[in-house]
Amino acid sequence: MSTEPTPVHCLHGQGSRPECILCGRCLPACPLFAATGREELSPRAKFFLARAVAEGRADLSKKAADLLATMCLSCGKCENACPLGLCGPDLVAELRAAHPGFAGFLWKLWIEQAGVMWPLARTVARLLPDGIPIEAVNRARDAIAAMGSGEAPAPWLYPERFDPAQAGKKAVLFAGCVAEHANPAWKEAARRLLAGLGVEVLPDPGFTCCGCTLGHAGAPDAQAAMQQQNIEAWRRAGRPLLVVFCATCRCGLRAYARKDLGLTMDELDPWRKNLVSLAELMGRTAFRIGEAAPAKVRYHRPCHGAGGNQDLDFLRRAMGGRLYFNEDETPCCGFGGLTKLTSPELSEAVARNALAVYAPKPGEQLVTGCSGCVTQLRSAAPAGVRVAHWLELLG
Amino acid sequence: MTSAPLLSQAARRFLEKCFPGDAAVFTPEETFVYGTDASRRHAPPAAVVRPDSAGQIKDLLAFAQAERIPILPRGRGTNTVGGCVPVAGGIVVSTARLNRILEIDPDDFVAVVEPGVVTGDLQKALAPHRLFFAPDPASVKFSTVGGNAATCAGGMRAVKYGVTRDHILGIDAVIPGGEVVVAGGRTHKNVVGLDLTRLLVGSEGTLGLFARLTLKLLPLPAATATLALAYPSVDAALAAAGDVFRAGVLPVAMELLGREAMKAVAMISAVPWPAEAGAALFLRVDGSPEAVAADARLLTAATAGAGPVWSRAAATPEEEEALWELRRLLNPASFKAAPDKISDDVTVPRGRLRQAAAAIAAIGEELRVRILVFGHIGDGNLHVNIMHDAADQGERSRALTARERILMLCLKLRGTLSGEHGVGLSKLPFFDRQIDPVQRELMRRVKAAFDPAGIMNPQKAY
Repeated sequence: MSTEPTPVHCLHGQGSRPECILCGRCLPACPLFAATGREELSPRAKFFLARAVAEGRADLSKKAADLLATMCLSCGKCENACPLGLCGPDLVAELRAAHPGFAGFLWKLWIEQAGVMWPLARTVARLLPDGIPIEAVNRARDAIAAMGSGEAPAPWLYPERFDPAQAGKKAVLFAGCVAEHANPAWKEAARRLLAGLGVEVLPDPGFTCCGCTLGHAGAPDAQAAMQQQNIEAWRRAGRPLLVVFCATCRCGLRAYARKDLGLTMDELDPWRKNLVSLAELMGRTAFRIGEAAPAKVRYHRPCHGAGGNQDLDFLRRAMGGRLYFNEDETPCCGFGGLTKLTSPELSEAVARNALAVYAPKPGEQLVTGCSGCVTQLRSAAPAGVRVAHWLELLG
Repeated sequence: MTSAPLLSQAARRFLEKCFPGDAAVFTPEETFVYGTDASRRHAPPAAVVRPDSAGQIKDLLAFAQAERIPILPRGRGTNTVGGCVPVAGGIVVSTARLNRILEIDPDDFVAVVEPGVVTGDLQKALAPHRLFFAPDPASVKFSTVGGNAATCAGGMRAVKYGVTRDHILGIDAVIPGGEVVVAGGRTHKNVVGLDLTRLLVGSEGTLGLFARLTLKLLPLPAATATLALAYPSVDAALAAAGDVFRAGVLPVAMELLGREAMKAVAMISAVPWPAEAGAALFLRVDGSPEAVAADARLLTAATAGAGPVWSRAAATPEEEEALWELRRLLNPASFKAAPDKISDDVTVPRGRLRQAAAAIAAIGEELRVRILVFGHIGDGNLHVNIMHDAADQGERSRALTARERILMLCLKLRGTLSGEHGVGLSKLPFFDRQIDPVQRELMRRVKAAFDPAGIMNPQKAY
């Protein structure tokens, strides 16, 4: 089936976009604005400037392009705040896709600043903008590996009695870029849990990155190729449970069902239903709290929770009263989108702001369920505060 | 890019020194958004600065006075009358980095805040102390205390508690030249001298730049309850509103949505009322749990006479919030109803509301324009949105005629052009019809006393 690739965030960008009414509701939602007080970075400012550019009232100067296309965390919080459902990341991705030079510019940056996570697969290298040598792809993968597992806390959560509800089911594990290349231990921990639940884990059918980041980057061809490779792999495995443990991967994969990527009508429902978070599968599994447990653990909610928050429910059951979460304090970590690549100082400012909001005391831990958030918060955390994917806490 | 009036090299150097790093912005792309606000008008500023201390504001206003450069205070740019649009160029002063709550004193019942604090954030910080700040504009979650004070924002609780002006005890305002006016104080009453605090509130950025505000706090009522009703017509809903007052209840909020307004909300949200309803009335009471329960019974009885076609009572915060969010969605929803709107917030004496609403509906019918009517009817405050397509010359012209006739109608009923949005740019052409020459001259002299060179938010308000 032929498809017309379009960048994907939450896919509200399809069809005509209502005009921003400049009401200002997106400002408190935007992590870039919250961390910097720079209104020019807000979604309202981007929609206003983009419209002026589109109508020829403003040039797409280098400065305008920087503001519009490089400074967005793709967190999607603005979309939830906007009464018209306008999505800043969609706007940014469209602008990037409309300017082919942009993706090349990003790759050049990436090569110069190795060390930033980037989803990669040799299979899509041919779809990347011209002039990107294959060696760059290898170097990128090496760089992800070099991020390593960092300073993970010692385990303190021990499964004692697994919920039998999932026993006998078959599943494939979608580990995502970070677990595949930087933290293979997460994948192993997930396998152990699934085995404990009695779920049969099938061999990796050949998944690649979910494609989310390439969509944000304005590389829709490469993104669509990745998405189709993942769908094919799932089919080959017999359309089993598709288990994820990264909120952003889950968000990216869920969006497949809302876009014409070749999933048949019969497959749409199984895709949605079988795409499950590992936390959700844990069900009523009972845990013992080990001696290494801190007095307080703060839950960091990933922006790409997309209606899920299954991690939070699960962690509350597993950790009890030591887990702390305030619905009014849900800062973005600053990892998302390409800002870490294009404006690292902004990304760091957002991370600092998140840690200032949480204000963890030495000895406390921060736990989350998104690979990007773990990577980012871990690099910014003050001494004595450990940051973990919840899988790392399992002994 | 529309070019902004340029600053001199010396002025730019001063700003760069006074506002180091990213605290001063000059490129037209970066300053672009600072040229607009929720009025959707635009004019380019020459520069934007983001002070994070009162000292910087003093230096800036001394410099701007000497150089005769316009100064435009800006909170979150959520006002709808063009109050933040730099029609004469100049320097926009964003309060985004002046956003600290400096003090909450549960014994004095005051809070001291910087102007850039979001009002909703302040409410959240006060709640654990069992205190609240009464002003509650629809933009409470995304507008600032400083902006609310500059416009003397109203909101839904004004019927019982009054407007922003009634809850500001003191303001430290920097005036052109850099002097600081420390107006008012932290007592809940104060009659010494002219009341400069109340003069500064609602001055729309034309007298000085607020550096900090001392706010009056009230004990947070232990309970609230909401009753939402739908009636066949606006007139029936307004009759019910009158019955509520006659029953001896002073609600904390009393809101009306006319038929067209209800339809607009239904376009962006699920709505609970029946499709045939012609008006909705939202009522809320607050107080002790016992008083609220008793008032809620009175409300139900008092509103029955006018013949509601639907009603829903809510007594938990979640249920109440779900109803009130429908009301707050009205402003964004109205943009779905037609490509363009002219928005006014006329206010008439409470007893003239039914007359005003009927006359507005007749104007809409005669001129063939859709008019959304909603608002804080407990205050006699009607939000009137004239929906039209500005690309259609005939329709635009009919909409403008309708607007003028509605404004004049309200003045004839001894009302006012604006209850809470302010004058800004959008009501300025009609200002003289309400304010007589004697008052105009006095206002001019007051302005000159604060701002002799006329640099504060020029060409606005009065």
